[in-house]
This record gives sequence, C-alpha cells and structure tokens, in this order.
Amino acid sequence: MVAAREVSLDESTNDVDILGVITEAVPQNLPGYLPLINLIPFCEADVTEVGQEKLIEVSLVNADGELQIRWYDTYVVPSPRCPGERSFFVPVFPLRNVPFVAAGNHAFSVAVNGDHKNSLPFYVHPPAETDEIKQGE
Amino acid sequence: MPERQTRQTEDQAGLGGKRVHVNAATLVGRPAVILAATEKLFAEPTKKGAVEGPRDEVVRPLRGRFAHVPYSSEDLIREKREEAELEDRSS
Repeated sequence: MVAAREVSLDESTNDVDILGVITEAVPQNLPGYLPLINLIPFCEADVTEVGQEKLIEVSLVNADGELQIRWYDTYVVPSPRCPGERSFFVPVFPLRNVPFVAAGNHAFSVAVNGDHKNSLPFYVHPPAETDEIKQGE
Repeated sequence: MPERQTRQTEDQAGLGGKRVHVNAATLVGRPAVILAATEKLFAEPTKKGAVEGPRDEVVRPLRGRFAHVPYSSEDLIREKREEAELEDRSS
C-alpha cells in the first residue's frame, strides 16, 4: 500500500501511473489539513471471492491509536485476468481534506469487512516554529 | 548404495546458478505540505463516502433529514407557522 500525490489511469491499456509517493508531511501550522492524498492499496482475492461486494474502510489514527477520521467505500471483487488465477486489483482512494491535529506518528489503516488488513505509517513533522532542531539553537 | 550426484551450481548458464547484480536506487520522497486549518474547511458539509470520527460534535451540529437546512429545526417550524398564518390572513 502506498500514498501518492497523483494517480493516473489509462483505461485503454489499464496502465496505472503513480506519481509522488509520500510518507511524511510538513505542516504550515497545526491543526491543519492535507488537501489531497491518494491511498493505493494493492489487493488480491481468492477466486471464490470474485463478484462479492467488500466494504473497504480507511481510518486515520494517531500514535495513541485514536481515530481521527474514517472513509469508506464498497468494492466488487473483479474477475481475474485468466481463469484459475487469483484476482488482483488496485482501488484508489482519493482522500480529501485530511485533518491533522498534532505532529507525530500517524497511520492509514485499511480494513476489509471489518478485518484489519494493513497499515501505512505517515509521519507529521512539527511546525517550523516549534521545530526541535531550532529549539536547541 | 551408489552416490547421488547433486546439481552443479557453478555453471553460470545452467538453471539455478546465475546471479545478476543490480544497483538499487534509493528514493527520498518530497514530504507533503499540510495547510493551516480554517473555520470554513471544518464547516463544509459531509462529502459522499466519508464517515466522520470524533470531530462530529464539533463540525456537524445538524443531523437527520434536515441536515441541509442552514438553520435549526425550531426556526424551520416557526417559519412554517408564520407562513400558515399569513395564508390564513390573505384567504
């Protein structure tokens, strides 16, 4: 799973271009918000799950595990490219106006039908005026 | 018992023996910029597909089917009552 600035999909060739992978953020001030971040989980499912509707939830949690905000969407497992293969798919979640209240470690946690699948660490630096390096000068 | 011969791995052209060195590149991504929050941002209506967390009581004071109405349900009832009274007077 990755987070990126831009994602472009060529529907004619099914090519997905992921541009600007990000793992951290620098705030102008806190609390603040990130205008847009694309969350891209790489998913796979068994052939028996093809056609099933899955509830995919993306939660933003802070270092204490406190829920900040949650997004959700339903997704139907697509058919595999070849019979007998597992189904591989990449749903893209454009998360807008992501709120951040404090600096520190955060994580985007992904759950499918209530079961946690993966977490993506995301670090928020302290604002420039409270930078620890500058405090030591 | 005759000794079994193992597959020769020194043969670079054979199966299972070839290794190719690759120079891995290190990527350092540019951090995203978090913009300062504004009252307008947190007063925006809920986007489709978003489920809010602990901030509900702060930024989403209206609930139910009148959530789109920019004033309270008491104001709406009073306004409807005044409209009804005006219609009675005009009729």
